[in-house]
Amino acid sequence: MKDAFGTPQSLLVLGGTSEIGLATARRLVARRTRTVWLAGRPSPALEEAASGLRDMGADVRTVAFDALDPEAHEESLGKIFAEGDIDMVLLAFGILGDQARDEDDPLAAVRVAQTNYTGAVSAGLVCARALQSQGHGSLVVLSSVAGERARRSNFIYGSSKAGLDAFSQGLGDALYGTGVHVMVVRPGFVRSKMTAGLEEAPMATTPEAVAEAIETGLRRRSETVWVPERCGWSCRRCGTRPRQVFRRLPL
Amino acid sequence: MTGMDRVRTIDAEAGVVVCDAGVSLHRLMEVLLPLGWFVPVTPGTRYVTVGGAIGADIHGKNHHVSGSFARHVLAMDLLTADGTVRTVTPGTPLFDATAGGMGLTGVILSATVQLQPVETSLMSVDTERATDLDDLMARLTATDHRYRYSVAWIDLLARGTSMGRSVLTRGDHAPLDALPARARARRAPLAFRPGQLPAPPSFVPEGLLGKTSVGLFNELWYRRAPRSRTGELQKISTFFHPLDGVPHWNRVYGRSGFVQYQFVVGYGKEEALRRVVRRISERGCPSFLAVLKRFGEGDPGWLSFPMPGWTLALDIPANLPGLGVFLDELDEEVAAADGRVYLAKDSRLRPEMLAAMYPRLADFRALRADLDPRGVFRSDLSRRLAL
Repeated sequence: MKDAFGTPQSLLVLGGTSEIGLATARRLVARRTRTVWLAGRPSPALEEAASGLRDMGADVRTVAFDALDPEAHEESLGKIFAEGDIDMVLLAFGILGDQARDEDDPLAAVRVAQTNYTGAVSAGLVCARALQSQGHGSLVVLSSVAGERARRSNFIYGSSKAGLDAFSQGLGDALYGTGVHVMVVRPGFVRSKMTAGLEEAPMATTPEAVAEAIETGLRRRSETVWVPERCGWSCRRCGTRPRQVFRRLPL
Repeated sequence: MTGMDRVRTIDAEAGVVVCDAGVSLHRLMEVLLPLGWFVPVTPGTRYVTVGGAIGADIHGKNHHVSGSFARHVLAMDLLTADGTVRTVTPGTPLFDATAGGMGLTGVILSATVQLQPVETSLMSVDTERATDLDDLMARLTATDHRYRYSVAWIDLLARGTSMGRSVLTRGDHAPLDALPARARARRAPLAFRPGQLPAPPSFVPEGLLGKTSVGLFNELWYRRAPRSRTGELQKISTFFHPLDGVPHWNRVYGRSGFVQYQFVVGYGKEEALRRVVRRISERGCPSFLAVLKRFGEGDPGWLSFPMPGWTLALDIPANLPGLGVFLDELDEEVAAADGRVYLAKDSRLRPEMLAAMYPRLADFRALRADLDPRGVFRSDLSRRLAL
């Protein structure tokens, strides 16, 4: 059960090797969290992440989970909830793809959409139902500012995050009043292995800063969190620019 | 539960009331005061139910004389997880688990409560100021036994030499002959007329209660109080329930609300109390409703909060940065001094701390496992603390 400051005692990270996911887990374990489930494709990196959190004193378990295999979600995630209440689910998986290459390789582009959007729809619905039947908990979804308005330079990734964002907002409204809280987190450019080698965008942030914003958002029971906060204002400004102007911007 | 609001029988000779558990203490006062009876224990608000009073085993300003609420309960009907209604009487394990059991043993349906006789609905109150924490503790230790009711409002923002400065208000029910000969109250000495002020607006900006505003309030509150005044007549609502006069007073904390923190440390552990007060004052927690009180003998409930010692209760705005970590550190101080925090007010204690604070916890868990194996009765508190 979360405490008065919204800090969970048990956490499930979908995308157990996500840097933002792990930064958040570390932050929450340092406060209250005792039980952590890391769900991801079995790999040495996943086990390494688990042992890092174990060193901090948490009871960590890993579970096999693949966003591209929605048929298995019901079973693999159901097992986790059967072991006890989960106070917070962090939906942290996602891939960036390579826009330039993916435009010429439709199957690769579809994989981005399937991971970021359809995989998340399936996992999100399975978790939402489990949270609703336990009667409490938060579903925190990592969206992106890229989903706010599709840009020429990464509209494949951006469109998948736009779908995820809209889905999560609707899910949050559907679950309003059930005791389950859905929070959409929209980070800007985050310096991590996913963005390694890319040219840094303005207002770049770090996984630790996103983790801090998530903790604050949980305390306030926010529905939308921008990281950094001022990113939200500049995005909203961007969103109102006319198409003819927007497509010429170097974004 | 407030749907179960029937006062069933009143024995006006013996001062015993049988009522549904959803009856509020406010309702009991309305009904009982004209008959010359008062509830045995009242907390800082009248708007709690009898069932809740037993479940949290509440205490009042008279704990050092009368003990907790459940000590005055002669019997209760309890609906347990197997669907049966049991009549539970003091001295049985089920009674001691239910008193202070936070509602987890079952639903309290009704209770028989022994009342306190009064001649008037007024309080005769002595007020005095204490210049710092040591002065306060000395005054309370020396003369508390002379008063049925005793509490000290403490300025937790005062620092340095005035750290812990306080206003003590202590008193008893005024006897009839204490009323002035021609006072209006003489005509209806037992009338119960709590006043009410307008409520704060539904939207209050965040951060209204900061260090500056609360510091100013505390300064005025302290200076407004007389250095020493005896025998002042006050209404029951003024003496016991000042906040009940302001409906929705919690709104002044804004959208993010506040957390309550109350702990007790035993006599002989005054150093721990001093340390906690110093930490709160040095950190500048804007708390304008802090009270300090001496408890009497502990109560039989397994999870009852009171134990002989000093209890400090405070309200803090929840959006204070780093508050969670700070309160965890206070828990460590309290646990190291063999003290405990009050579950009825808790919303953030770590489960690991609980067993040290409540030595009968294992008995409670065992009884619950036996009585309610499927965990029918659960609450956010029981989930968080694995009660």
